[in-house]
Amino acid sequence: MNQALRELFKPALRLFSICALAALVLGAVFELTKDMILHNQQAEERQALQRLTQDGEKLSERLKVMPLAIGKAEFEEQLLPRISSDKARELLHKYYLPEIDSYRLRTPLVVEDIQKLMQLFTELDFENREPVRGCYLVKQEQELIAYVLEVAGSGFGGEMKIFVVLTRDGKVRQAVLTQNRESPAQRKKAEAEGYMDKFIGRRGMSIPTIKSMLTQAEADAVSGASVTFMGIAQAIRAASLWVLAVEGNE
Amino acid sequence: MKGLKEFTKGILHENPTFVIILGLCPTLAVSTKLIFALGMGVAATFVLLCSNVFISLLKGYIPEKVRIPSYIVIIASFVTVVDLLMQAFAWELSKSLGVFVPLIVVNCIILGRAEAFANKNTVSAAILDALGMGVGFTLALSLIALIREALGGGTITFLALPIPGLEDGVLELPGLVTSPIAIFVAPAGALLLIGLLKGFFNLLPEIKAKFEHTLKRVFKRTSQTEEMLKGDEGL
Repeated sequence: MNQALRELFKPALRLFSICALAALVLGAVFELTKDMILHNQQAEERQALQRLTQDGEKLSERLKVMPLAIGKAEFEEQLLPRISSDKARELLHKYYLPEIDSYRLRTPLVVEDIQKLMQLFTELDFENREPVRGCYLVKQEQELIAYVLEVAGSGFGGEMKIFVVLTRDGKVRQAVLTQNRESPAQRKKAEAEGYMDKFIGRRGMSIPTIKSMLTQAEADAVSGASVTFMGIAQAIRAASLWVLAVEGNE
Repeated sequence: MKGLKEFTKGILHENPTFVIILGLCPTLAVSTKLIFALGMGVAATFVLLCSNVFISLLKGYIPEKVRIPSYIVIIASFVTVVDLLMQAFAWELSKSLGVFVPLIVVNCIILGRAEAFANKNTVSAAILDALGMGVGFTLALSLIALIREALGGGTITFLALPIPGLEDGVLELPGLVTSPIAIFVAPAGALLLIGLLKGFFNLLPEIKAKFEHTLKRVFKRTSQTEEMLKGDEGL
């Protein structure tokens, strides 16, 4: 090995050893703290869900949602081979129709099949990459009356998790921001009382996602936290569009 | 004596916020409440201490060519450790500080002390430097937060304490709580306040010199009077 190569390798190897040591330490700390962090996150989510439900309403377990479209390769090579029951395969073929490079969800869905499909995707542990990640069915006297959708929005500090309660006609009933890494000032605005009022009662494309769709007072209230507002608004709109698609009110 | 000097320089003469003007981004953002400032100060001090120790220990091992990436890896690792520990044991504080905890990685004070001090000095000196700078940063951040929160919100937020009026950790200041001076909560108010405090810190050497001069004059007069009195007694 000549001198020039050695001079290149030596610092690279040393930097690699520092990185390897750092990775080991981080792995150990993560192992020690992961259960407690999960516990804290779940406790916060439970509190948020309690605030969202009304008297007489019951929430289902968290279900994974069916995507509106799945890539052809993923559907045929990863999803279908994992299904053992013929009924489940039949259900999937009933609602997912092949297109050029994907399978698209055929909407509207029969109410009973909505829950069945969600249960199937939950059993398959399917991670939806669309904004709508999870769902709690809201039932009153065994009848489905609304959805609590867990939606991912993109904020200033990365991904935010938002719970949105939507009636079956896609109208926003309530929403709450949960896990996020926004700055204290942005967070304070998004958690202020009445912040979600601008979305309540609206559905689909009428949900404001840009400041020009807001009244002057509403725009002033989100000023300085525009990225947070747009992230939350787009997530809520995606949730409403999902319900409209599934329920056939597009 | 040298150790004490190493420690105290970060608090007064080389205060990172008021004298060196480093780490202003978290200072502006987090200094809206006293409790946030204390949390951020403690977290930054921990990262500063650990990174200074490791960089001082590894100064002979880290090659000159890759020193900055190495420092960043070390600092980022400790920041991640702090972030995970906060999420596990201080969930509410972690939520409150939000994105600013991961951003400690790019706090200029930490990289600045690694480059300017830790990689040239012994471990003990690096520890004292980190503690001094950390305490200086925490005090500065807390002072700014105390003034901003008191004037801008009419409250002072501590930890919840079993003291009447502080059970929820918030002390309300009569008068200010109903009519606060809102500009102090805004970033512009923070800049204004930092400017005023920086001006005060700039004046400190002058005030100190004047004070010493006055003291000397008083002592001189006293000793002259004593000598005169002694002379009178002699007569």
